[in-house]
Amino acid sequence: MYEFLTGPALWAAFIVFFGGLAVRIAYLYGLSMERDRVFYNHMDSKWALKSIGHWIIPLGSASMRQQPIFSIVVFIFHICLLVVPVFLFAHNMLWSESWGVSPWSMPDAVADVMTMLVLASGVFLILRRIARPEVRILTSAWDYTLLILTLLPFITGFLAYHQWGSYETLLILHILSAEVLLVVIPFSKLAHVVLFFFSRAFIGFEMGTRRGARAW
Amino acid sequence: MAFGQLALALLMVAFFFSPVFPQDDVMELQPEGVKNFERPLVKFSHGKHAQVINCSRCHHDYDKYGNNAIKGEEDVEGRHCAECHEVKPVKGQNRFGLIDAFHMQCRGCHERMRAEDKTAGPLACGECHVRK
Amino acid sequence: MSEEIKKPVNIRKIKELLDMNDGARVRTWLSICSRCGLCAESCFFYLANNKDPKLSPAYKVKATLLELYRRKGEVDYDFLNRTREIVWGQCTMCKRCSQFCPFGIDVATMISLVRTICESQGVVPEGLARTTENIRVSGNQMAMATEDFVETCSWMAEETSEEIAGLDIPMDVHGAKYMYTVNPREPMYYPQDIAMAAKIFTVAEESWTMPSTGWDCTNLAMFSGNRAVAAIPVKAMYDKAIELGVEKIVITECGHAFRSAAFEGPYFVGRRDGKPPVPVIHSVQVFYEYLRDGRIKIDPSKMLEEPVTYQDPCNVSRNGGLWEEGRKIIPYLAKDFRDMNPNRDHNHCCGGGGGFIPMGPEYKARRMASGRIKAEQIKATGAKIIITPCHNCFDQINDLVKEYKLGVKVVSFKDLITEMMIIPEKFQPVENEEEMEDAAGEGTEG
Ligand code: SF4
Ligand code: SF4
Repeated sequence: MYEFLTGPALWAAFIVFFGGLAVRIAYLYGLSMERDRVFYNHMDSKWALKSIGHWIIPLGSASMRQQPIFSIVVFIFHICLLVVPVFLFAHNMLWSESWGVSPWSMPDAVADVMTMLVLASGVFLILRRIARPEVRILTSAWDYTLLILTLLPFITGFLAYHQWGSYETLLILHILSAEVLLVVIPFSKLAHVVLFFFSRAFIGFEMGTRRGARAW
Repeated sequence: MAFGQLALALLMVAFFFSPVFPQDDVMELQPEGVKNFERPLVKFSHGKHAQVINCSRCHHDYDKYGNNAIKGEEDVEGRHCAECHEVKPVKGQNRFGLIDAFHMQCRGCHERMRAEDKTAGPLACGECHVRK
Repeated sequence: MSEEIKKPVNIRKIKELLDMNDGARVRTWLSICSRCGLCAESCFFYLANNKDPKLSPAYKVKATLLELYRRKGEVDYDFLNRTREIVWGQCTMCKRCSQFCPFGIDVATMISLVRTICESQGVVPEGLARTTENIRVSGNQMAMATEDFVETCSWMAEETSEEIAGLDIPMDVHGAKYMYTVNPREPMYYPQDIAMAAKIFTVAEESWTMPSTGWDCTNLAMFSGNRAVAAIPVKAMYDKAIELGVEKIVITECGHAFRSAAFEGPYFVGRRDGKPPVPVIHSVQVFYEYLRDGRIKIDPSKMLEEPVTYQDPCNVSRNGGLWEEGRKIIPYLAKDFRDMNPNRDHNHCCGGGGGFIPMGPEYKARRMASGRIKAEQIKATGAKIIITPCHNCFDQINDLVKEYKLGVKVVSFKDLITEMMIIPEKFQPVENEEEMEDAAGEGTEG
């Protein structure tokens, strides 16, 4: 099982993940050339970058400043979510064994704290979805599913690392859930991992180039 | 008298079944020079391994043609991995860093054996680095 | 709204519209909305109505456009009627929410698409249906005949030239620098507005003209969602400007007219570069330049002493980019300026935009309720006078003043400038000065 999940299944997951995102972007690009082309003529990289930048910096937009706690939690959530899997020592060990190279690794203690931050902020996001009427009304079961799916590799990874519970099962679940997540990303709202940059860039130059209005 | 015979017999049995190595059966692998272990040290059952594979499978001292100078038990004595494998791999030297060397040695072999459908030790991190 | 029996919903047409607009933008927006609810607090409808979650921008899209795509356009009148109440009664397409969404999802654009879909089935607030029909048959929203318009202008020229010597309202002058276009309510109900503009242009010694056709710069069809009809006034205006060979089209103090003429109009008439064939500028810009360059001088003794605030019309500020120009005019006119909060491109819609005012009495209660945010903003400044360069803001705030007993006076820049500007010697009327002043007295904006 372990060998299958870290072998063919992992390959498949990565191919679907990168391929899926690439296809989705290519498709949307083609569609935009056909149907939204008129908007390209006021494309402007300065406004596009500003629009992205202000929403990547913590509290960089008026909207985030309006809800600072939520914004900071979301920020921590995303940072830890991205950093932990990429810079985790154990993951990098596997990279380096397979390919001879790996990214820089952070100490496990740091990764441990960051994982707890992901989980804590994830729980916060779930509770917020339930508690705030304007969010609850927008939320469907799928939104919870995706959120839990995002947290699952972290929960299982965390437990496996500490070897709380059945290690073998947890590790299998860890790899499996991460692969499922990778596969789901390109085909769900989680595609915002890349589409964020496109939609932000668009509104940036749409409001900025001709009007100078801030989209943040 | 009977006691003497029994003792002798036991000694012989023990000799016969005991590892041919003068080392502990289960040893804790402690790579020298590595500070701050991220994971618990690996309990390595040397005896079990020695029963099924040749010493030179793990213990090695390659010359530049890739020939292993270690042929058997007698060549191993007193040598340590860290003598050649530095903690941080040295640029230009075709050698793994110490931790990689361990991982490649154990995990690499387990992987190959499994690929050949043979029984082999574990692959996942926590199966070797077991927390007490 | 209407009980008469309707022909069945034209599903094919809806499908066609859905498909036509299923571009990369709409698709991306609909699919990546993370349902975070951040946009809710940007919308004044939500804020003013007790934070009703159904008024959050994302919900409005979810309940309308997303639902239409989900059902593949197979909806009934029941659905469309409910949708009408959302897309017209709960959104002014002010675009504020797209500044507050992490993905910059442009809710207004999607609401606009839903309006187009509803309109295609005749589901549209009556007031807007009427004006759209007017535009279709006459080219302007109030179905004013060309002769009447030209006559009104010359009547105004005649009257006003008694106040300012040499004043004229030139008509169809080839090669003029500016072609001044107006909101039909000016010639219909508030002709003084045209007179005031004429005064300013005259004193600034501007080369300008009014067009006998294409003079209606407003575009309520843009808000009713009928893009074909929306192209009519825009095309007439562009054509006339090209015919006259003017340098620029000037828009009266009206917000949505500017949005239509400068930003959305080019697409209505199929200009792929998204730009009008002749540059379009708003009065605010023109007035600011006159004051800055000293072409219009203000009598300092007439400057306003009372606290003054400024209402950024969405379509002049956020969607027009002119918030600084408006603010730079004010120091010439008033001593005590107090900005609202939030302001500039982040300002809240007054609640009268997006066609809300012409939607008529049926929607008035809602308009007053959602205008509470604006009323509170105004009250917080303590201002006694509020300036706004937009007809819709003007009407809405006037209504809000009554509803919330704000005790402020709403004025346009034209009102103030014509009242305070120094009339140079050569424009001073020679005789009968006193009599004239009476005639000029009541300059109410429309
Ligand atoms: S465009 Fe304006 S009125 Fe419409 S939902 Fe967005 S903020 Fe509210
Ligand atoms: S802020 Fe944007 S992403 Fe969040 S719910 Fe509103 S529209 Fe969706």
